[in-house]
Amino acid sequence: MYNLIWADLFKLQKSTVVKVMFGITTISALAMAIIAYLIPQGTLDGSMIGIGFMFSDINVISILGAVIAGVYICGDFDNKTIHDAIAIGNSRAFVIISKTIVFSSTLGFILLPYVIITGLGLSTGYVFSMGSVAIGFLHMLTSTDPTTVLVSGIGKILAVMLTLMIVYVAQLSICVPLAFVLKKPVPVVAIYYGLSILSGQLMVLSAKYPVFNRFFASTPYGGNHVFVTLDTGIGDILGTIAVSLLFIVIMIAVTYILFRKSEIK
Amino acid sequence: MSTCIVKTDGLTKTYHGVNALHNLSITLEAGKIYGLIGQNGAGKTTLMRLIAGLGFPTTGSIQLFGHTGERALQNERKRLGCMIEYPSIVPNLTAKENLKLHRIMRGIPNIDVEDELLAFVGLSDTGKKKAKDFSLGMKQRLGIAVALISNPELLILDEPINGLDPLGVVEIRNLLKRLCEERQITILISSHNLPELYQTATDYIIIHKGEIKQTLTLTQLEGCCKHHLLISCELPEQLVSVLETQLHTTNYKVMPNKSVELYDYLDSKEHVSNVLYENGIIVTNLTNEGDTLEDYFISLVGGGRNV
Repeated sequence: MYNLIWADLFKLQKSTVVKVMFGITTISALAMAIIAYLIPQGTLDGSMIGIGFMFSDINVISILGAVIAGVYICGDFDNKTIHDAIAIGNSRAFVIISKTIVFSSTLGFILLPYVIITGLGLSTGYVFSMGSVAIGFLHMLTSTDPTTVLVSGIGKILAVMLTLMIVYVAQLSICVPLAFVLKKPVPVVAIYYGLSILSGQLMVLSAKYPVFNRFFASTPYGGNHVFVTLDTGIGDILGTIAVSLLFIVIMIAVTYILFRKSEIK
Repeated sequence: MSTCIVKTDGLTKTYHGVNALHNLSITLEAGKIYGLIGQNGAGKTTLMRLIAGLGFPTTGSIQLFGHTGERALQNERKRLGCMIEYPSIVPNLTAKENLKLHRIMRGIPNIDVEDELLAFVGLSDTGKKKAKDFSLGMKQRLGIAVALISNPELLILDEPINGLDPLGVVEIRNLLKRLCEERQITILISSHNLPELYQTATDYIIIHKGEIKQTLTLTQLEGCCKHHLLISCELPEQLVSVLETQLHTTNYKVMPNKSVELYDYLDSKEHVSNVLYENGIIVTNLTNEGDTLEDYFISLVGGGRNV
């Protein structure tokens, strides 16, 4: 499995797609922060919130994350790298786990610009705002009181950022079974984007129905998992990490069940 | 006694109620090149895929290097190199980078193997050219290099000479023979190019509609290929009459182009020539001929030439 991970990292290191996506997230993160800064200044009109949200991490990663799953996992079915990995004696479980690890690492890599720019934004002490649409890193950036940054300390900031990254990885881990089953990038991206829109609607629904809310909160799409900030308690952060990791494990298990005996064409 | 590398017992593979393989039992021994021959859809690729673990048999079992059972097979597949249907290559990587990827995947520390294999398959001068810009033949060569990277004991190649130019075909043939002779690698190779397979393989497995039609060695095949005297003349009707009345044989066949294949008197060409001459038949061609592997295959499975 170790060899599979290194081989995939070597391949991704040479991948133009990953470099392009990193460029996109860098530009998007910058645009998000600038818009979130200029709106409360009054330089930009409040109607720019929609544009600002378009550049936000939740929106960008929902598309790019699924594209990565499509290109990276489905692409390996196309170029027969997965076939070769199995034909040379790797277990299907190892193939799935190694793909999930490298997929998660790649997501972490393309999220780095949001992490860095959010960190830089918080360190300036400026006020950021994107109305009520802020989620994830944008929410962290816009809802944090500049005075609490110093009090919280660098450790808490990093912990919150890492937690948000884990939440995103968990949300996108549903692309792993999708990619292993569908083997085509376009349906994976389309289905995941549909799911991300659906999860937004379900969040509204969960606010109305407490029973559904409890169920939905046990997934990385529900609860306050994408609203973790410096004000969130350690217990809640650990709960979010636990829910996310458990969800990733479930997705790996589901993929294994579906892929264990499937024909690899 | 030869070492058994692969043994299948009653292997059946069913897709949607249709048997792709039916009760297939074969044994592959060490150091031989097995030519797998069959029409499209005969089950050649299915058999290779099952051996490589890309599919699972519906019934029956596979033994690899004397081991059976899913976990053991998985372990034994580390001794295998394969190229099934298409080569396993990443388009945006160069030939060397592709080999590096597969070397890392197999945990091979020796980086020299990349250059050695590139030279071996004639791709040393491809430099920074991406695999996506390779010709079909170059991709095939790279696929073979990938299959060889772990120095496998069993090499499975599905249509490896597809897209190769004539020189490339000869090079791959010599390469496979060398691998078999020098490294005692067992090779299972399928190809629609039967004349080429005839020159490469030491043993043949003829598969038809998912069942083994025949397994035979090269010597047995040569014995099975019908040899005959091919006679061409201006008056084939008179020739036939002379064959029956003077040479007392009906063991002949008139071909559509009016030439005659005579299956008797194979070692008495001069005698046949004399008799025909004495009976006023002017012979324009009289040669010893033999069936090709292709003829033999067609005679065995019948039907068209969709090999």
